[in-house]
Amino acid sequence: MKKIPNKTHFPKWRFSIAALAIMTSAIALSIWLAQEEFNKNLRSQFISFVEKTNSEVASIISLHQGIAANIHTLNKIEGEFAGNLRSYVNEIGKNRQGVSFYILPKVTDKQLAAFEQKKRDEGYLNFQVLGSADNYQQQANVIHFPVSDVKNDRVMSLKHLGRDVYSYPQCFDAINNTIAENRISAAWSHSYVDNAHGISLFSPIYDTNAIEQIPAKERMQHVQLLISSELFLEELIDTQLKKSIDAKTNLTLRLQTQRNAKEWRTSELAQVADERPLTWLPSIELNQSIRIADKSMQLFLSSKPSLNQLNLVPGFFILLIAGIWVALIYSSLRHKALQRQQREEIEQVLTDERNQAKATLNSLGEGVITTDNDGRIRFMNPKASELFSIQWNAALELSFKALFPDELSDELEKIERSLSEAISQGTLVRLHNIRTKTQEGDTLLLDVTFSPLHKSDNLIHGATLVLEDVTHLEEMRQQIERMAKFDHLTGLYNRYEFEHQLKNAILLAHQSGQVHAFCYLDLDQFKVVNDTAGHIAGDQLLRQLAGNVFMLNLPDNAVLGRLGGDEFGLILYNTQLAEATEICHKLINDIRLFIFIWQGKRFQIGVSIGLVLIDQQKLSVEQCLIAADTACYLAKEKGRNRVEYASADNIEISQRHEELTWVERIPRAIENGHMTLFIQRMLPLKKGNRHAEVLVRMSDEKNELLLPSQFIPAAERYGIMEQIDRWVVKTALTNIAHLHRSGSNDTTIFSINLSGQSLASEKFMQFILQLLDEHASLMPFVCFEITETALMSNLSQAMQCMHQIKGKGAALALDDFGTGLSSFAYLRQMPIDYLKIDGAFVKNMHQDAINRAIVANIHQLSRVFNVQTVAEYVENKEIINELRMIGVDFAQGYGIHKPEPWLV
Amino acid sequence: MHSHFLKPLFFCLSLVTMESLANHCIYINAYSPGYDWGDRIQKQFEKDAQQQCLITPYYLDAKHSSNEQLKEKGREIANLIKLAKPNIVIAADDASSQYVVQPYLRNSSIPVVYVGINWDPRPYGYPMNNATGMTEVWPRQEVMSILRHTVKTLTKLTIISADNSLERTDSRYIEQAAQEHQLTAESIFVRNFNDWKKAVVKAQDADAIFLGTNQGIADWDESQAIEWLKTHNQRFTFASQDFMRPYVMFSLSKSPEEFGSWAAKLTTAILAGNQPWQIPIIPNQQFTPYINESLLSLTTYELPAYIRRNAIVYRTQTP
Repeated sequence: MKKIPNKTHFPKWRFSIAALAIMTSAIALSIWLAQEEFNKNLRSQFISFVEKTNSEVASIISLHQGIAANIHTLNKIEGEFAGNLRSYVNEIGKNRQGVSFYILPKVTDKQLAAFEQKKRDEGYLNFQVLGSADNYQQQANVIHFPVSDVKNDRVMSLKHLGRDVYSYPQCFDAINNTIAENRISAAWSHSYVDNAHGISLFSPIYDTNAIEQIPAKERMQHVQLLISSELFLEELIDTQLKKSIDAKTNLTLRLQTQRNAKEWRTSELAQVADERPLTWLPSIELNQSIRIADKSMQLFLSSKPSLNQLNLVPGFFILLIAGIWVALIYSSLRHKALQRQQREEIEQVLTDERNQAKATLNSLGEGVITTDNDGRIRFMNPKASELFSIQWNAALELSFKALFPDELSDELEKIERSLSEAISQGTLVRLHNIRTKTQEGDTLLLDVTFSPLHKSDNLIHGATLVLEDVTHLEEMRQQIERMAKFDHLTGLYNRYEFEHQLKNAILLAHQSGQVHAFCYLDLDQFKVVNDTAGHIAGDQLLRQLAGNVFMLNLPDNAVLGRLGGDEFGLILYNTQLAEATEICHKLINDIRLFIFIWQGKRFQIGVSIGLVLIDQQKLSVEQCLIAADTACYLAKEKGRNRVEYASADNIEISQRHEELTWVERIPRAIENGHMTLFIQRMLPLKKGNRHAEVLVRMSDEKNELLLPSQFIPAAERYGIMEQIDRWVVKTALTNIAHLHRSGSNDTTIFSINLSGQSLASEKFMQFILQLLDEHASLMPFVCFEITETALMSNLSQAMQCMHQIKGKGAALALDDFGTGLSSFAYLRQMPIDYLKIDGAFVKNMHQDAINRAIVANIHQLSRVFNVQTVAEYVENKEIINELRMIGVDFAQGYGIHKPEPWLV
Repeated sequence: MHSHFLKPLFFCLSLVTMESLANHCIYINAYSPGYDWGDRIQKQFEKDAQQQCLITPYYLDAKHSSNEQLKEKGREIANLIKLAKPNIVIAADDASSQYVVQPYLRNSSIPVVYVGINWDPRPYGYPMNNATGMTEVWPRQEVMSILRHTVKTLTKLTIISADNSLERTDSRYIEQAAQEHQLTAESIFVRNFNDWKKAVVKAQDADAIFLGTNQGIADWDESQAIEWLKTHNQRFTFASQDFMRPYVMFSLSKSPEEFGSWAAKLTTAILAGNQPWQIPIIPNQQFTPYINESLLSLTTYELPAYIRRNAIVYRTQTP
């Protein structure tokens, strides 16, 4: 049962008082009922007692009359035999309780002495006739009615032997009456015997049967004797009381006669009243009258029950019912209190939630508007007010469409349709990039989500519109899109987009029969600038070259892209070989004339160009690139600053030659131990493990180290990256294992690069997964880096591989992020742990606000996806500080650690 | 003789327990155990009074003791009574009062209840302050009335009885009643059965014969007696003792139980605090009429109707 908290609406005091009142009433009712039952029983017993007493009295009177009648009859038949009276009376009265029968013969004064002697002779040894009063002797009594015979059961009745009953005034009258009227008369007998509560009955026996014919005054002469019955009221009452009333009853009985009163208590009645009466209960008072002949008396009974005499069973049930009632009331009140409390709690929760919702809505970055089914505004949060530059109370009841400028009719139509769809179909409808204008005239782009608004009746009562200002995001998207197409450094198409353009040109040539020219440009002496003046200078050179040389001197039908490093691609639409050659020569000349000055130093560079015609020959983009690259390589080999045309024949030869060259050189390098692993350590900008990237270097036949940019593109191009990757992964894991076996406490996580080609190879994946199983214990210290470009070239396969690697426990990093940001939307699906921001955005971010913003946005995105970020190309402290401010997790670059051989 | 020494010893030993247990009653039986009359009085007393007191009975054996022996026994019992200080002494029949109460307990502090003194207790010193009781009478006047009703030519009554002092007293009272009814009365006392038979034959000159007790008549033969009466008697016979019912046509028998019961009632009243002198001495009042139909049917006598209605009809069992 849920406990009622201290502070509730449960009316404890009122309930307690009510419960007390109910239970008290129930107890009182129970006692009252019990006493009523006791009273009823006692009343019934008392009535029975009185009835039995009356019945007993009636029986005695009947007996008395019977005796009189029988004696009268005997006298008539056996008139001479008076002696049998004695035994007859004794026999009849034998064992009769509460009464004694007497024979009162009429004796005159003259007969008195003889009568006394006769009685003595009969055995009444000290028989003597005695009067009632002191003046008995002086009274001129001529007639006596002495008690001459007594029922012998009652010893103490013998005291009456010889009593001249006629001498007692009240008996005198009664005897005269009974003789005169020939009927039973009664007298209080206390004045002539000790029986304080006795009644004496008298009946006459005459010597004639014709007494009715004799005048009343003369009947005394014909009386032979009197039959007298003395009723002992106390004994009668006691006897009947014991028969009628429960012996355990405490009672007081009072007999009130005309002369006096007698009171009995329980003890006197020999009742077994061993239990105390409940004195606090009201007593029951009963009274009944008893009539004996012409005498009447009252019996008063007063009693209180003891506890055991109360039948508490009905009371128990009443209490039980009352208890149940109280419990039900308690339950009901408690239920109501709890309901009320719950309602208040719910209301409180709702209020809190409403406040929270309000606060949330107020603090939301999105605008929220609710409308009715007709599109009229019912609510608007502050952000929405801000977006539309309108106070919410002013917007109330306005149509949602009114918030948009009328001139944007297309947008309004979309909005109206979407709102209608959301309300009518109950579905969620999203609109992207809905245009509107601010008060100042600036364009806003909004993403609007229309949600049907269901209420408790489950009916739709309108819609909720969530408006997200995506202006900034759109700008960023566009910027990212630009970045996806254009080389950030030079503003030219990047390799990805350029290959796309090349593909179009090939397609166009096939479709239209036009001839286009494709040129592969590789700067000469650029390495010198980079090595002597640094990357910044190199970048500046490239930027100037693109802006000042290429863009100014190329014809309109030219499309230029940066393919990587110091390599550029050029498509010349509708250009025949001669014209193309001419343009190339002009470019060579222009570049040769271009002087790059950096920190007072002058640099002169050149360019080698490989030329390929794009016509109806079915060349792929890759084949075009290889052909042009090969031609360019030939141009370099032939002395630089020249154009080398790759005809169809030349292409095949060149291709074969290059393939043989790289296919032989790289495996030979692996086989001969010319591959070397370098590591470049990263700087944790926050707390975290140490990280290092594993880099591969290859030394040539002259034992000079080749940078990855020199052999990796070729390896990728000729499909032998898998071999390099196998060697790198195996060697790196061996090194890490050796490192840990040596007892080092180094917990550095080593990042190993995987190429797109390797990822696309099932065999490679089998190889690497087996290798990972062999070094399962090292997985916490291993991270694989996959370039964004490699990932996007075969996304589904790459994703599968990533999940498999991830399943082995190794970490994953997405490398060069930002160069091909079309993968942005897929970040959510990638099981990556680190995002390595492309160094192009990092290396001058302390000077370039846009780059800084890009880095910051990429970092924020990574936070959304719970991915840690690594900034590449970090070359100075300013950049480190900027990265710290943004919150980037790791920094990597020459400014932190220059790659060094991984010596284990 | 040894019993004379042992009795006080046993009695004293019993006192130790009696003292603390209850009221103590000493019951003096005038006869010896086995005498029907005395036994029935005592038995009834013991039945009715056993809740009231612890009863110690003593027997005088008056039927078989001489006067001197009875005096000695009386003295002995009186000594024990003085020693025991009982709450009450019950003296049954004449000898108990004659040999114990009158000489030793008259007006003493020990209450006395007597029962069964024939006709008149005054010869034994009654009334006394410390005594009350029931005198043994017989309704001789009423019986005379019955005789007069039954025997139409009634002039002479013959009384035949065993020869002892009590029977002689009885016969005197009956003779007195007969004389009051203008009858001639003659008493014949016999000591043996043969004399008794002769007396029966002789009594045929009377109109009615009262047969007193046969107790004390030597060689008494019940069947012979009955047969003798059947063959040699034509007179109306009657008796006052119920054990004489086989030999008479009508008897109005006294009830020994009435005495025992009354003695118990008096004991109860006295133990409850009543003084003996407050309770009048009364006669016995219960008499049972018996008709011996086997004898009466041989004659033409007709008893009064109210007797016939109330009497118990008895038939002699002829051997």
